[in-house]
Formats: sequence, C-alpha cells, structure tokens
Amino acid sequence: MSYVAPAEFGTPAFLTRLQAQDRDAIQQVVHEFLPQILRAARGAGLSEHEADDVTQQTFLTFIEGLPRFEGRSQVRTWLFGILYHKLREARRGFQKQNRHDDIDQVLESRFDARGMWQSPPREADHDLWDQQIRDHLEECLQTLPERHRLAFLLKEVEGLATHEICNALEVTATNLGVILYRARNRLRECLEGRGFAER
Amino acid sequence: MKMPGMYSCREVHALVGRGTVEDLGPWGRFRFRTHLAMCRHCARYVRQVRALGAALRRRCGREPDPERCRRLEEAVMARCDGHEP
Repeated sequence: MSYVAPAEFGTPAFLTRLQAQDRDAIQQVVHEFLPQILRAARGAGLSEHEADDVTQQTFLTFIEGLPRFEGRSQVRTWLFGILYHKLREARRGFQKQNRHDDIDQVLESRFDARGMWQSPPREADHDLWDQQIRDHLEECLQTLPERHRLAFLLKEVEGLATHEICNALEVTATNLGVILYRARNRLRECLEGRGFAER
Repeated sequence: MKMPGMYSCREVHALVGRGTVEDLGPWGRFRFRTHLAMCRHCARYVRQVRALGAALRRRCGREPDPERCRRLEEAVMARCDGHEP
C-alpha cells in the first residue's frame, strides 16, 4: 500500500486515485475517518448498533459516489455531509427547525430594552458548576433538536471550521450561527434550570 | 452598563452564543474584553459556556474502541470488495 498522510488527501494525485476507486486510497480514508464518523454518530444520539450501521452506510455511500467526487470540499467535510443525510434518514426527528424557536423568547426575556441583563446567569462556584454539568449534561443534551446537537458537536468536539460545517449541513454561515446560539443557550438554560447554578 | 461605542450585554451574549468572538477584529476584541472586565454577569455567562464546551469534549470526544473500529473498517472494505460480511 502506498501510504499517504491525511494532510495529502486533498492533493490532485490522491483525488485521482479516489475517483478511480483505488482500494488502498479508500482504505486509508476509511481508516483515518471512521473513528470520527462513529463518534459523531454516537454523539448525535444513536445507539451503538444504530451508530455502527449508519457509519457503515456513510462509507459505502462515500465509496459509491467517488467517481463523482470533484474535491470541491474536503474528504472529511463530504463524509460528514453524508453522515448528516444518513442521520436524517435514520431519525425522523432530524427535520429542519422552524424559523422561530421557543428558546429565543426565553433568551430575549433575560435582557431589558437597553440590552442589559435583567435576569443574569445565576452564580455558581467552579466545583459545583462542574458537578452539575456531570450530573445533568446527558439529559440536557437530549433536549436539543438533533440537528442542533450535531452542529454543536461538529463545532465543539470535532473542531470543524465554520465553512466545513456549513457545507456538511447545507446551511449558510448565518443560519449556523443561529443554530449554535440556540444549542449553546438551550443547554446552558437547561443546566441552570436543573439547579446547575444554585448554591 | 453600556458605554458609548461598547457592546451591550445582549451583543456579548450573541457573540459568545454564536461562537463568533474569534472572528472579531482588533477593535471588536478590545470592546469585548473591556465589556467582560466591567460586567460580572457577562463574565459569568462566558465562564459557564466555556465550561459547557469543555465538558462536552470530555464526554463526547473520547476515541471509540479501536477493536470496534477495526471490525467496522473490515466490514466496510468487505462490502467495498463486493463481499457481504
């Protein structure tokens, strides 16, 4: 096998091999990105069995589509885009969110007409705060719409750049900003509501 | 409080919530840091949101079991080769 470093996956030579469905090139991509895709599938709320299945389906779709892959996005971005579609197929709740979200009203009520806090975040020392996150993060994550949770995971855990997430989820940068804003604040509000910030 | 030319709390909240602080230019970063230095509520909000991101990375950022990944990789390559595993 002629090994190519992941940083070289975007080179024309490697792209040509992928388009030709070169087995070694495919295996290198699978080996490099399968743990990330599997981790994201689990983080998106799938069971272990479902995550295994969706991960396999993601790579099989990737392989089938290689002759049409023009390299306009990075291999990793393309894979996350396929994963997103597989998650939507696997989970009915993965529909796009409405333009208006009830979290917006909750957040708006925290500020006065001048844009100053009228209901500021409640105080917590660091130890209590960390403890409350450990106790409640799991259940609060379940309150996020699945699309928001995936966007948040891609940003915070996988460290994808904004343009990569936008390509993968097919949203504009503005829409992604709104999604991340709602996801972060819904989580924080949930934790605070469950005693997160109480002394 | 809001000083002329400085961000309001709502604006700081939006910048942090959207994750766009890093996109600010030098003047924007100055305004952001100045606001945090003067506003304990926003400073607390920023600390809580950062802790949340760190906790999420600890919870969801663990590497999956290598053996499981190896089995899945084999299954994908077997399907790629036209063999049902």
